[in-house]
Amino acid sequence: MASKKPAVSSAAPPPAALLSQLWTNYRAETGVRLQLVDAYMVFLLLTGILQFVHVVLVGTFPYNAFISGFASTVGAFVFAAALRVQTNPKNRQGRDFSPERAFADFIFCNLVLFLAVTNFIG
Amino acid sequence: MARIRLLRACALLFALLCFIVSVTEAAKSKDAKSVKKVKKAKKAAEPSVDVEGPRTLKLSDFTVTVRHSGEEATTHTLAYPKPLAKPLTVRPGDSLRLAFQLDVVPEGKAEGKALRAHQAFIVFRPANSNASPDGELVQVLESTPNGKHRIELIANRFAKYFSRQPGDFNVDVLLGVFGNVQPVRYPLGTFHVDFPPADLTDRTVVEDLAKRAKQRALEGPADDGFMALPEIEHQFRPDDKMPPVTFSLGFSAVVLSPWFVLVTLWKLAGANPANLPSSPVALLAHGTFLSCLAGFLGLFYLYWTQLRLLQTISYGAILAVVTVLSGRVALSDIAHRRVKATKKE
Repeated sequence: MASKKPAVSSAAPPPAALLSQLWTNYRAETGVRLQLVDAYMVFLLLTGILQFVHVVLVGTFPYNAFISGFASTVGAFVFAAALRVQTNPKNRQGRDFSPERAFADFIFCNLVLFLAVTNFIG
Repeated sequence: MARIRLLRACALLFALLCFIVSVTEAAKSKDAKSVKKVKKAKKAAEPSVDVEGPRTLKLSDFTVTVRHSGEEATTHTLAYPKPLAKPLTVRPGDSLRLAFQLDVVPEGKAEGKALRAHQAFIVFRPANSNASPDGELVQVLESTPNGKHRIELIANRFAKYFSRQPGDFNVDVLLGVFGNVQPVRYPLGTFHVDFPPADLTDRTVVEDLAKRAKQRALEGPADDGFMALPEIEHQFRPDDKMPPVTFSLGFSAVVLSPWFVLVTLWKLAGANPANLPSSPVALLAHGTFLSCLAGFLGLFYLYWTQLRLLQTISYGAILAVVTVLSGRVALSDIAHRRVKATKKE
């Protein structure tokens, strides 16, 4: 994520101001593609959490279904994180491949993951 | 797949045919051999048992002889199936001799043939079966091919058995013959066995009793023949608890709600779905690529609902070729536009 800039005034600003500062900096300094990936990761995070809440409320009866659903969100999150790392222009350190190549890898990994998940879903 | 299945079925059929042919050949040669054997053996054949009709066993010259020690032997002649008129007494030192002639008589005829019983026993069964820890005493009769059966029992040989349970015994003779012949159980009557009871102060007797008790405990209760065990019934486990359907549907909506968050955030971040490629070729490639990805998801759904793994992989392999080709074109188009855009800047 984008780094937080120190507040200008010497007095400690209220937390709400800090957060809004963080948000504006993030929106200003992060590329649109990275923001899209971030939104996708938030989406995965929420989905996984809600599945877990369901298990807490109801129980683990179709256990395979829960495991595969949760594992697919976790796996997709990991792949999205890798995509974000690889497509971030600031991380170009001697690596010589395009964000499109990273996206192709991302697609391939997701397809394999979904096949495994479907196999396990029961 | 179908062709492979057909081939496999053909191979199986062929193997089966070979097997049947070999078996029938073997049976033919065996038949020929056995026919020869029967021809040879016919002259010396013993009285055949199985071919004839129903027959009955005839016991004759049945004698029971008791010799008390130091006395003259007394012989009792029995006429099957009548038992002894009076109970016999057996004491320590006595010997008991039993002899009879066995014939097998075809039904409706008076004369029979001498026969050696295939199974011939004498059984001493304690009259008071509750007080008999050791059960019955069974001895095998001696027999000759010309139908003579006999047994000589020295009472002292069974001194331990009789001492443990002196008293009255019901004595039976059991005879069994293969074929269509009614077996015989001949109750001879009561034998009074007058043995001194086991001396419980004698250490060897006590040790012997303890050993026997231990053995019986190991063997478990005596089984009077085989019995059917209770039928094993499959126990179905109770169904797992499921939440009500409305709750499940509602939570499905809740779990899908992050899609709304995703779309909102994407709009916020400034995703531009109208950023379409210019050339129709690239447009076609993009469309093909995206529909291939959707096709993969549909294929996985079918795998979940109906397809098998190998089918899924083979369809997926075909789909993968199209996906890779179209994806290469589409992604390189994006890359070109990205490079152009950065150069402009």
